Amino acid sequence: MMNIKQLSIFVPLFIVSLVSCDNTTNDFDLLCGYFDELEKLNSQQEMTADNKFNFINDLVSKNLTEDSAARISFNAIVGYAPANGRYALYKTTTEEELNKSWQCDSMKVLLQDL
Amino acid sequence: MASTTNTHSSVKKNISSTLVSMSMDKSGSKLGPLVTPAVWIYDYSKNKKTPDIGDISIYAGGLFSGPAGIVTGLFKSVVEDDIETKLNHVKSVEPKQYRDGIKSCHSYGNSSPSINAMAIAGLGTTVWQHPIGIWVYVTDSQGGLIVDYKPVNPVVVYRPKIPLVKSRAGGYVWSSHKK
Repeated sequence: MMNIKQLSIFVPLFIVSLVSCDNTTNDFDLLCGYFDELEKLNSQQEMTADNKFNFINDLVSKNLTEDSAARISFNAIVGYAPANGRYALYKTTTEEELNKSWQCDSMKVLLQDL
Repeated sequence: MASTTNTHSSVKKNISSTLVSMSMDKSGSKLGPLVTPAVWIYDYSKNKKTPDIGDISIYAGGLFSGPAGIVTGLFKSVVEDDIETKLNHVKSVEPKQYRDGIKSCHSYGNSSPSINAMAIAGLGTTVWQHPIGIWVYVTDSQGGLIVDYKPVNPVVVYRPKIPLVKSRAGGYVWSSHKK
């Protein structure tokens, strides 16, 4: 049986672990949310590739830390060619990072436009 | 032979410094926390390896959390030794003049090696995954980028498009090439 002293060590450690896991997940989901916002913009169809990139990049720079895996991989994948291969590669590496299935429908459509 | 001697060196170093540190603590000495920095100095003089940010944070954490820091440090050492062994294998199959410039993507940043691989390719050098699973990249002896290196036995290669073209995100445009 665990005593109070042991519990006072393990419970905070457990909570910290859970919070850490959530943060990793949130960054990729946050990024997906930015693509959702871009998709919903009425003017999206008329936006240039530069404008679309700037829209996402502004939100990424403002909300994700420089060492965020989601931010690092987003900046890298924007340089990938051919552009229609970006989403598949991003999804694969994200799932490796998160160790679970992940998808983002708006990113699938728009990542190739940036 | 030399690589065999180096195998598991991080684990041995960490275990021995931990034991010395713990025995000093048991004996009432206040010098225990100084053992790890002393081992770093020794490691630098012998292998030219400096502590990375992970080592330092584990050490700092270890000062406060003791056993948890030790366990985390040992786990990190086992992973580092495994990567070192795989990296040595990859180097051994590549041309001799490039071996010193081949490094693991694992130690490049805090993200997963495959994300680091994409980021490094975007910086303008050749990155590849070896069949044993490790992601590596290559630079020349001055740390310069090698855009068109052809690894001996890759699963997949990431390299910048030639001629180099700037990406919107600030790096270079790159692509992947499967074997």
